[in-house]
Amino acid sequence: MSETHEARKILDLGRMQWGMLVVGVVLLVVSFALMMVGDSSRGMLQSYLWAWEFWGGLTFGCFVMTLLHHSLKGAWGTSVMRIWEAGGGAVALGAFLLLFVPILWTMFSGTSILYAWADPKIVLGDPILQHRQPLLSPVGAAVTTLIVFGFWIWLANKLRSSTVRQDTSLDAMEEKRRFTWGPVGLVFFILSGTVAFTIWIMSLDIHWTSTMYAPWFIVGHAFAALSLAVFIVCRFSTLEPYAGIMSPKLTLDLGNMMLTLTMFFTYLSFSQYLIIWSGNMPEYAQYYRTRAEGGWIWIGLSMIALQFFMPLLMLVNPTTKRYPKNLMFVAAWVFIVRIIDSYWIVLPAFPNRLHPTPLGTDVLAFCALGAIWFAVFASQIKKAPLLPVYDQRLKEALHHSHA
Amino acid sequence: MAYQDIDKVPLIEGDQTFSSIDRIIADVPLQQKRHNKKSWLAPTGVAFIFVNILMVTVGWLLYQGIGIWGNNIPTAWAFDIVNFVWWIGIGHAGTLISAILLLMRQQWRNSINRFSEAMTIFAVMCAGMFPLLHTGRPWVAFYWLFPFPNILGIWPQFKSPLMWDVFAVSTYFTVSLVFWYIGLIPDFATLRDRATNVPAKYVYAFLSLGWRGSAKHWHRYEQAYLLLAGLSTPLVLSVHSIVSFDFAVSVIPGWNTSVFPPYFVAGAVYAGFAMVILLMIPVRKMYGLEEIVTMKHFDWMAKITLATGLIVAYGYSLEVFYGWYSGSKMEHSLLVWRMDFLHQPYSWAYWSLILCNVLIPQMFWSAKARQSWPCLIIVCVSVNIGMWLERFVIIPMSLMNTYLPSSNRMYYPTIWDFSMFFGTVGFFIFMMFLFIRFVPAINVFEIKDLLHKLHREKASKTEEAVATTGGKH
Repeated sequence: MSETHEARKILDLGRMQWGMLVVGVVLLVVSFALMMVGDSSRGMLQSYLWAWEFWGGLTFGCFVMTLLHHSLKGAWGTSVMRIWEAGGGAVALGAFLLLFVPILWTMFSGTSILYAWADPKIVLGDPILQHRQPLLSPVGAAVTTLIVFGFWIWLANKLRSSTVRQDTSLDAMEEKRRFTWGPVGLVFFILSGTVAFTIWIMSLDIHWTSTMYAPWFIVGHAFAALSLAVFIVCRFSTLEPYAGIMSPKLTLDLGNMMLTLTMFFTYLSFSQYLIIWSGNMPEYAQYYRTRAEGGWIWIGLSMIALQFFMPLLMLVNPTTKRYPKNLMFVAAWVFIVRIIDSYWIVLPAFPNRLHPTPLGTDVLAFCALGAIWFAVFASQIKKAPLLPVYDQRLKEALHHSHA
Repeated sequence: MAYQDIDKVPLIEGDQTFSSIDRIIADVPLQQKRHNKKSWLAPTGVAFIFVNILMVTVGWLLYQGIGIWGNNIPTAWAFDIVNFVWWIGIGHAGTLISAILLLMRQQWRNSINRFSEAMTIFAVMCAGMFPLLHTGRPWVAFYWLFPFPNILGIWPQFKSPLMWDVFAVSTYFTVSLVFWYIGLIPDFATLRDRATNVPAKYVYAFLSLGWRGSAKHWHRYEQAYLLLAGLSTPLVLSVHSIVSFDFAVSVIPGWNTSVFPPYFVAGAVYAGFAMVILLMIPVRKMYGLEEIVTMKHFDWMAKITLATGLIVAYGYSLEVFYGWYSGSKMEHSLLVWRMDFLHQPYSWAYWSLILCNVLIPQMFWSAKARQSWPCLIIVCVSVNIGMWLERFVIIPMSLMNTYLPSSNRMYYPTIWDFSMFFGTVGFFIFMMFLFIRFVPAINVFEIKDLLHKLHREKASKTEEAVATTGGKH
């Protein structure tokens, strides 16, 4: 296996890391400043929460895909594992824990700018919010956030160290150990994530609950993580090290995985919608009612075409999956649509956001956190070979590419 | 049994050849005397007794009406629908193994797909009996259910998942049956060619539809099989999702739960795989199929059982967590009704299901447990009991605890509820043993194809090794 890694050279990760970091920090400082100014404070914080949900969600998506890769014995995941490790590793998770501080600050400030349950006056008149206080209170949210992030960072670090160690030690036992930690970690990630995502995002819609929410949330972000990784691999498919493993079988596998997630995410979305629509209970239906008012309904409806039919029609065609260029286009499409979907999920929860017109603060927060995300990603991906050279499954992938 | 490194266990053990594969699998239905032993007669005989119990129950039910069951108002759905959902679930492993694993190019499915497809068909037959007989007078029900416009302008309610269920289950049964039969055609031809008994030769010749094994036949066959696999794949998800909609689209606490569709599908695959393991263990022993269905197959099936079991357990945790989080009085009352083992009469069912579906299957984390016959049997029996209890907890127990406390009423099953359920279990086992007696329980030509591939892989590895060492060892 060539260690030249042309793809890395072209990306110029060092420049990308520092460039993105500078841009991210500058935009972040502007965002923080706007959070302090009375008039723009509300809009800025709401935009920031949405940006955190998307980029943080991408980090969680990368992490959950890493865990899935270490739970299954599929060779296809080896080609994208290092991308997920960088995007959902301990450093990325740590960065998003730090970036959660402004959100936590609004919780402790006792206002309902983001979360109605953070305002003691509202809680006083609402028996349901009083009932949820052990979880939905500033202290409950802070403790839960610290615990789940602590556990995820520890686990991500453990798995990453193991893969990097195997690159030098060649010890096949490392892989076996990861097969034990992968499924255990996956179980605990899903359980802890369910509680955390409920606090961070679901509780924005004050009385709404849905048992489908956490699986829906996790699958949606895993879909974004997969599309990003597929985009990178296909974009650099002619360069080493990806050129060495690229084969129609690999692109077919990656494409099929995207097809599976396209259908699975739609299945979860549609099931949740149908059940809530049929039940027509006020406390559950209000979630979709809010998102069907103003211009939001057009975003919701367009998601059916953009997030389901378009990728489905593209991915059922074998030609799309045979050529990296085609697959790269689908991956980029999915990634962009995931951004719009995230916008539709988070922002209509705020009563002042009656229409989906993007605000300047939305763009600012999205770019700030996006730049930070890519800076962390670049810093991590350059620390290890783009392919886990001594992973047993890489040999299988190589075998397929040369078969 | 000694613990083996499962990665080193081959998919087919022993020095097999095409003729030895024929001998091991195809001769089971051809040598009918092999079945005249206690090992076949005893379970089939016992199962036949239960078939008779089923017939008596159905006869009495048709004469007397469904009042012989314990159903009441508000618990209008009870054992009948519990059993329906349970049986539909049992069938799901067959479709998953035969269709989804085929599309995923999983070679290990070849040894178990035929057997589990048969299981699907018989399980759906058992399932179909319950809603049909729940109508009390099925011949009258047909008149009202059949979807055609009539002069009174009465249309079936197409917005109801019960209506979707009719289409989903009948499509599922039809596609599964055709899929199963198409897969059997080349094997029926093998039996035709090997049969020495003239009537058997004629029967298998008729069933093989003139199969000659020409390139054209194989080409058509491969196309049809792949097409049916593609058709069956969405059915795995859709059938049990629609079954879950029967409950989830209503507003009854415990039913109006949005995670039901994936949670029901996972539960179905969970129970189905447990049943395949449970039935395969004695059958492979009885007919000397150990070299074709190896420990590797059981290990994989146990892993899928564990994975789906974890999804089911996650579903239980979501119900409890969001039951608490919602702050709804009805949700809270439902949790107490299910879980308070000191005061609630049916809480034993809830805690038994947690024991059977969540705690006991955790044994499968251990590779040693996945290779131990007692462990496999204990876990699979417990999963099947647990999955039945899960449906009991969801269906009648939710109906007993309504929005209007004055309407609440206890449900108690009668002896006819039990006889109907155990009668269908007998019917299922009876049909499975008839299937083993007359049809190759394992796909002969797929095993031969797999054997060919394994030999080729072995040869290419040897060539590589020779090339690397330059022939020096």
